[in-house]
Amino acid sequence: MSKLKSRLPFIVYLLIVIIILCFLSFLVGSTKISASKVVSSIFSFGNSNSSSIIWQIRMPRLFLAILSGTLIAMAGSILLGIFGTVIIDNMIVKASYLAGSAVAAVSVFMMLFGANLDPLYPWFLGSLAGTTWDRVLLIALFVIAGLVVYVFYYKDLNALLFGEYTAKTLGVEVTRIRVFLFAIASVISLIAVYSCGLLCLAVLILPYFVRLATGVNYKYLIPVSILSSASLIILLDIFSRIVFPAELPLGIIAVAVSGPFYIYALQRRRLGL
Amino acid sequence: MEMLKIEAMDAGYEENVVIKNVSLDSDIGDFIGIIGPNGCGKTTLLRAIAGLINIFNGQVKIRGKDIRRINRREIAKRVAFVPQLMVPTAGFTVEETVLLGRTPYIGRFAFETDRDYRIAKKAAEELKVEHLIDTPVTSLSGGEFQRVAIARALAQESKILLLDEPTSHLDFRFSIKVLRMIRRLREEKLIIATFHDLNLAARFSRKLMLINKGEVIAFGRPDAVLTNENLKQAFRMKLEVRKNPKTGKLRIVNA
Repeated sequence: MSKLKSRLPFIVYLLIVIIILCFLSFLVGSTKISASKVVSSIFSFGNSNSSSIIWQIRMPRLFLAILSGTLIAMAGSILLGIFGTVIIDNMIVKASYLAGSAVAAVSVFMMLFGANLDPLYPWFLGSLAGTTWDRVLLIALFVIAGLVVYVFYYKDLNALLFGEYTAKTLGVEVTRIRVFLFAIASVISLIAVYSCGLLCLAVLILPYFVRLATGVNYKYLIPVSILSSASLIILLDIFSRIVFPAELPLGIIAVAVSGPFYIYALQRRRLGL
Repeated sequence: MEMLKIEAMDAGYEENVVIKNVSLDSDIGDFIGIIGPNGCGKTTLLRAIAGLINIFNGQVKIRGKDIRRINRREIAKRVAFVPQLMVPTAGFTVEETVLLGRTPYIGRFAFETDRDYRIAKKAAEELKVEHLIDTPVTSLSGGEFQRVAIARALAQESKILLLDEPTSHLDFRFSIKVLRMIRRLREEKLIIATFHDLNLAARFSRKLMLINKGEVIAFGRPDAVLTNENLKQAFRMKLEVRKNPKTGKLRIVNA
């Protein structure tokens, strides 16, 4: 059990972080609600103004942030497992990142000149504003499906870590598993795009860094990645509400924040680390 | 029916034939050492026996069954493979690494049972790493990790155990220690290992297979295989085989 003992503090720490972030996300928004009022609103389903803001606006938004983080973490971890560190070198990832950045740049430019971005907005830039419970429930179904795949396939992802030959000698049908998991990761990514916008996929890089901290054992990598990605998305969402009263799209912040990490990862890769 | 039967096998990667016309009959209790110069196909031969690469002609039969007709999971229950350079993977303890050997026995929608943990523990005991069971593999020494890698293969409970250069990055003392442990396993397994070190191969193997350029030059008891002529043909240098008159041990020196 000592292995659990050494890993538990990390997970507990992340849980505390996420709880604090959840609370913060209730506080922040165009209507000011005091901390004490937040607490009383959460625990009472009253019809007060603050209670309906918390329950109908901020709560679904927070849940969607957590679910989006979960989706992105699962897709990122799975891709990392089937491509190895190659994912960083992977042209697809680079290309999509560049494309994403280009879209972001163009959109900011267009916004400055007052062009109408409405049709583009939800799919590319992503925003959690105006999230409804219906949407949260729909995404939650996919998250649950993704978690089921994780529970039953983390063993294969672990075997794949040891290389193709070793995975095969452990009885894993390597090609079939890779194709299957790639399909799953693609679907999860698509749902994530639907949930929080294309640019949020920039956060796919996070499991790569989580791995440096926790090691690669998928039993722990996926839960820790989920907690960190969810925290990050909540944080970015809070940020988008505080810094820009008009709400800067979440995706743009995600790209801006993760940019340096991509550069760092590519550099590490180049140095063969 | 013999455990492993190879019949005039040609094997290799994609279109390239690396191993030519290899035949072998062997059974539990055997310890076969495969020797030969770098790039002669030692590792490729092990991979072919594990069903990892293409077999172009002939066949590999395990208990009479063509390996190409057995699915991965079933092969994994019959053949375990310790690769040459298994890299310790961050985030795994010794126990978790050894438990990987139980993978073929754990169903898709199931998890490790107490029995799997027991078998993993027994494998760790066999290789004398049970006291390290909760240690992260990244903090082990080379000798310790090599034993963990072998314990993982043992947990597969296969009748055939393949080891690719099991002593390649161990010092002399650890090489002997690890090979003694492997030799003990022979009682209930067929062991096939590749060797760089001819002296270690001669000392621990019951039979040797000398390979050059993918073809078998000699196969049989060590003193029959390790002759000056055979070694010269394979290694293209003058090597001399000396026999200790008292112990009967063979020693190969550069003449």
